[in-house]
Amino acid sequence: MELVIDRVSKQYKNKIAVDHISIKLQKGVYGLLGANGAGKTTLMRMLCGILKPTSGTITFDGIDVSEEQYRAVLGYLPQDFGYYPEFTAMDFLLYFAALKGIPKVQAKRKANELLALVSLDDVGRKKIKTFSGGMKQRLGIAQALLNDPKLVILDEPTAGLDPKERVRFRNLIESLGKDSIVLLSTHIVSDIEHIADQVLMMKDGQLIFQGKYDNQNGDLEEFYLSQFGEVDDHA
Amino acid sequence: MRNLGTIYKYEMKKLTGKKLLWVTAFLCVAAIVITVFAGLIGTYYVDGKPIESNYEAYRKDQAYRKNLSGRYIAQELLQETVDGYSHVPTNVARYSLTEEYETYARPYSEIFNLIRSWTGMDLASLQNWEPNEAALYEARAQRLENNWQSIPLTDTEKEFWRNKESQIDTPLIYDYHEGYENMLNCFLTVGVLMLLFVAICLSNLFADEHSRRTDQLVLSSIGGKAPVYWAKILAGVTVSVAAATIMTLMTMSLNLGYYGAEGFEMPFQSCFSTYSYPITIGQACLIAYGILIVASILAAVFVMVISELFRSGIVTLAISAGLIILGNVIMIPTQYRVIAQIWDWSPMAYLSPWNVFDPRTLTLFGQCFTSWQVVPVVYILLSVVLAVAGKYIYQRYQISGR
Repeated sequence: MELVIDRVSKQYKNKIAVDHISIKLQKGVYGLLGANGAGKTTLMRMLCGILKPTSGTITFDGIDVSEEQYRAVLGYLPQDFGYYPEFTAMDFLLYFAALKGIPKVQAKRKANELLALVSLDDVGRKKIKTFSGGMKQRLGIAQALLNDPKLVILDEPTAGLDPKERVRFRNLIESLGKDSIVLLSTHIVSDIEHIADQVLMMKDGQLIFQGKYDNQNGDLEEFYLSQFGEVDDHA
Repeated sequence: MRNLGTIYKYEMKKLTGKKLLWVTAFLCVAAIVITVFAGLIGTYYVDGKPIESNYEAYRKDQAYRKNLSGRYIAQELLQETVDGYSHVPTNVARYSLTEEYETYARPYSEIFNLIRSWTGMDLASLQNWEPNEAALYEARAQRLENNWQSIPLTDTEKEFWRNKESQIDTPLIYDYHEGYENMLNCFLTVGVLMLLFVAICLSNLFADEHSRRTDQLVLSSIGGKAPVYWAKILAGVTVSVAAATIMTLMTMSLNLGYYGAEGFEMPFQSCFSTYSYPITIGQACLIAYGILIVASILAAVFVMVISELFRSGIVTLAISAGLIILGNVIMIPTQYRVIAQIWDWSPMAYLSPWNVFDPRTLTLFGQCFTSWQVVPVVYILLSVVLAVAGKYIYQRYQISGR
């Protein structure tokens, strides 16, 4: 299982959002760190096939990102996603299960499983418009896992979750990383510290750090700030 | 396309779950009821004095028309009409307020209206007219020729209509046909209501996915490209066709239920004298409202594709409403034959009886095809072309910015 990102760039008129990124990801959890505007979301959108790179290629086990089979193994939770107010949580999951090509009977079983996993089983029949921000986020996470994805892209997945939910979610991501490639971006450094096998850092569209982070090297947050030359400001 | 049925079901749920749809539907229903019964509301005043209510007038005229029902527009009936109108004094300001008119002429007013539309006769001319069935039908034929000349029709078209005209049995029969005539009178309003309903209810179908930011979830799914697109198009068309069908059935049931369903077999020419195709008034209603349903498909696809192109419900609504208004305001003189015909046969202008039963035809390989034969085929083809173009736009969409 391998995700190959080969010299991927994205340029908007006079701004380079992602600049020649090349990386190979295998099974495991990858934490993507970077300041606002570093290009994390743009890179993730390109990895999900909803934004075309200006140049470069993205393949999963040799399947190009533009192909249908690529999307069949993908689970994506965007940073800021919407919902259908007239849908219940169950409707929402069944709708996306249909979009992901999951047969009806299997979809129902999977939706029930995931609602339980994200602790929404008691409100599965309630309309999403009655949900809190955290509940919607959990529903989004459930949606991303419907098709047992081999490639999981999570953009700020813990935003809006309370501390207890965050811990539960970290554990969930950790277990996903055993069978899949999980790439998650977050501003919360401690999330990555706890679960990421590898850390990726982006600045101005470029990958400035890639590798395992060892606690013996000190606090990740300080390391992160040092990479961005912000240690003094932070201190 | 896996799970197309399930995706379609949820797209329908998205559409029908909106309050806007139900509020618009309610307003359309109310507007149709008012349109059907508009002629019965109010009172006829002369010099500030009420003469009779429109309802009373309708009941009276309805009885007279029923008395004439089943009679040929032939010598005997023409003579009775002239005799009836011969009692009406001409030295009064409004002859329709005289006792003589009420007693002798009003029972034949429907026939006089018909004679007037064929010959241009006024009351004085009618009173001096020696009824002549052959002359009357000759006058109608001459009027048709003049009409064809002024449009202008080609020689092939004129020959086509002369041939159709020869297939109409004369003398024409008059039947009580109030329900069908009123249905045709309501056609323009129902058409505009249908187009507005489609514009209001479907303008957000694609745009909402972008404004709600659900597009990123949808487009990153395996079925997020083709199946979702076609499911949305199908759902939009379903709602549109259902709305057009319900509006048609409602207009039909209210008109035929209240004004009466008799007269289906009356020749269309006994009511719409300038049209020469041998159809009955009932068939004319079925043709017109059938086209309304086909037009709803094109309207739905157009609105949805515009919605995806601009990714804004407001812009889509503004464009659609603008076109509907333009279609009903702009009249291109028929002398500019090609442009005028294209404009009049376009969906925003077409839904009116005078366009559906238009003497202008499409001539292909020497064969003439009437508007109601051509338009449904063209609308379906255009719907398919637009839908395919929309799929191209939808699939090329890139999620950036935000």
